[in-house]
Amino acid sequence: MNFAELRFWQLLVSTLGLIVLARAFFNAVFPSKPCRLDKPALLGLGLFLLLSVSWVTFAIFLVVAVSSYVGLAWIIKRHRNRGPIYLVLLIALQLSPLVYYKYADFIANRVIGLQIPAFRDLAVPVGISFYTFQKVAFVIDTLALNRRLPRFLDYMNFAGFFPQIVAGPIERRQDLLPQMEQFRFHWLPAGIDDGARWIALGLFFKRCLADNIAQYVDVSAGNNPYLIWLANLLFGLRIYYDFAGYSLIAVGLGRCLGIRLTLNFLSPYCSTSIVEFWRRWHITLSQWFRDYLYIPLGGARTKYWAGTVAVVFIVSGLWHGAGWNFLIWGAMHASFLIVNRAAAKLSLPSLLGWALTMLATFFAWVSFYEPRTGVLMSKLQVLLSPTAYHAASLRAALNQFGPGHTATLAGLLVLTGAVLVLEWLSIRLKNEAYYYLRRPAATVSLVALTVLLASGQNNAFIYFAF
Amino acid sequence: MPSSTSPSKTRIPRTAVCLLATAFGAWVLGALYTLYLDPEIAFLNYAARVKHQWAQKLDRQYAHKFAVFGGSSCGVAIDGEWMLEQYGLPTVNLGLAAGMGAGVLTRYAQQEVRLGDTLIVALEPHLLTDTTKPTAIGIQFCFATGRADLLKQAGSSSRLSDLLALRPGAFHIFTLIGKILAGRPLYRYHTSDIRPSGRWKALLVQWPLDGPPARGPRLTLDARALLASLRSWSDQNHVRIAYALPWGFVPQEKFARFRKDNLDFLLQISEFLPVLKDPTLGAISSRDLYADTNLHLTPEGARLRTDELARELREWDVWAPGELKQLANASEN
Repeated sequence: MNFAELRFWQLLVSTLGLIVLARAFFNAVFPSKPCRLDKPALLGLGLFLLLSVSWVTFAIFLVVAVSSYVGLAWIIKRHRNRGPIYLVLLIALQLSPLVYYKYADFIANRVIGLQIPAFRDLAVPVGISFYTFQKVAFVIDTLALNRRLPRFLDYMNFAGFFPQIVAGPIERRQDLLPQMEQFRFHWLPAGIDDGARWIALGLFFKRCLADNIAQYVDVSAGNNPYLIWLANLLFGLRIYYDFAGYSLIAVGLGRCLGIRLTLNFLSPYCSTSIVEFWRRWHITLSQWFRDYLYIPLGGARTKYWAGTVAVVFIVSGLWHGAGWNFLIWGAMHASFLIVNRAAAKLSLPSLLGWALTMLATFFAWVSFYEPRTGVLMSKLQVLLSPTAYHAASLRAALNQFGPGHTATLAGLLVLTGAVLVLEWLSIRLKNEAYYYLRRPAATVSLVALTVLLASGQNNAFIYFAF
Repeated sequence: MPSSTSPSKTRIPRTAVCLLATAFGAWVLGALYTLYLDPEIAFLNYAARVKHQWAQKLDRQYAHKFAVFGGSSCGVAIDGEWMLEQYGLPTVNLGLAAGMGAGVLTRYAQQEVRLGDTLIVALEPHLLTDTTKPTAIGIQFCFATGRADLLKQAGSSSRLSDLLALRPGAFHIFTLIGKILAGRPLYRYHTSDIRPSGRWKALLVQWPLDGPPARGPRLTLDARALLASLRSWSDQNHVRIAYALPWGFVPQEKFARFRKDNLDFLLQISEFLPVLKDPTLGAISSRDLYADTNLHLTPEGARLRTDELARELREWDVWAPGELKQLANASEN
């Protein structure tokens, strides 16, 4: 379900067209009966679009979704009193496909050293981390907070709402389920207008910024610190505009259908501290870890809060991928956050706070994109060695690209800089993320820029791999 | 911020319609620019016209012609007039731009060939170790020259995606802005550089060149399908066909490895097409023979390349079955 592909939009428009025709037919044949096709049609639309990604993805989604519901219904009906034990068992069951597909190779082969060849070629089904976490949260919220079991159809629409199924936002029961219970296909001009602005912004982020920048992310830069910093900078920009782009399109599609999804990003590169960064980056995942791991482990109120932060961020790192590099990335951010919290009483000027936050964040991106642990260590060493920063390395970095590519990269960085300034102004002046990028004149400009500048290279969204 | 559930004054989502209209308007502007103003497409369009006229002239005057096609490595290397004057070989250089993709280059060349002609495939190896589907430049060229029908044969996925490729893209626009700011020509070649038989002069700059030209190790599946269909077409249409490896610059220290890679590549090609017996095996270590890239020969290099090709064509000197394999085995040892 790649929103950046023409095929997705063709499938979506044609399927929505069929739904409209089916409704019109129903109303014509049964004028006095209320049309009850909307919820099954929404579910059918979601499942059809998921099936168009791949049948494996579709099948695993169905297994996780149905088993979660059936397990939950069984616990509520038969074992309400022994809920916690069965809750743990059900969560283990929910997590088992994720563990198998995503972590079997890492745990069995790279950690334990069993060398099981069958695990090496396992492809991670698209979106498994996202929808598994959403369903785990649903099960916990329902059992722990003693909520009623929703109707199966409403639950399936909650679990399989197509804009957010493969890359979030990871929605919570109280936010999305009531909307699904009330769902009807309505013609909502205001919602479509609002959604169109989010979709336009998301497509601009993805197709114009992320996909163009992606062509210049050279992760092979080995011992030249300037080139490693350049790769970190470009990768950091790419992953933000890629993932935020997806999330904004999801929000926009939701609005068009009358559903409000959570904004997953709030201009994180405008943060003036690491704490603020994590309130603005992949918000629904951060909230998930806060509510289901950090707070149960004691949160900020215990004297071991630093250890708790470390555990949460290491697990968060591993959520992104099964590899030592993701663990190191999580550990880095944990240490940044601990230092940030410990030094909270120091009042830094905003500009200095922003510069330090960006320095730390972009420094850490090397751990995210470099899966070879030895190479990663060597790159970190280069970045931290003052002697590596000599004039010859700088000259080599400046000559990295030919004149055409240098001009293109410079143009893209200027464009990105302008977008970041508008993001910053939106937060500082209006306290609303992306406010100025969603003004009518800006949206029209972004659409024109997307059409004219979008890369011919259509990359899959990075977070599909998670 | 308007709520999706708030009552609306109108049934038409005006913003959404306005954004769609903007997208369409921007696409129309991009398409008009691409088809009529883009200096690269204008150059390729003009080059195609010149080559077509030369091919027609040869068709009128000779019973049989040689057509050589590929990307710009071919465009700057093969001198048709020299082939005709010095060796009596009526030759048209159909080389255009590698960025168009192997599919479009091949289908375009097939159009210029008649029954009984000889078609020399001089596609750059990297075009055959990557997808052969039409690229944006290939699509733009086809529309600009009125040959949009070639796209389907060249492996295009749909007409809608072809139409959506009629826009400049970030690389083009930012490079153009850079050139305007630097006061440089908008395109590296000028139409006046194109000779009547289709060859044009490469940009004569002597900046450092690294090599060899990058490429994958194996022919891709669609490259294999393209070569197989080309072979089948040539058999059906009585067109003699062979592959000629472009000459690539490689520094001395990488020379042996590059020749070995070229041998492996030619072995794969020979499964589909006869391969002309070029003793250089496409590896040249003399920097003086190269202009701005490691596949663009200088006029002096082009003359040597043309002479060598003329010899191969006159003698129809192709590798015998097994010869390439023997050579590859020898180079292994």
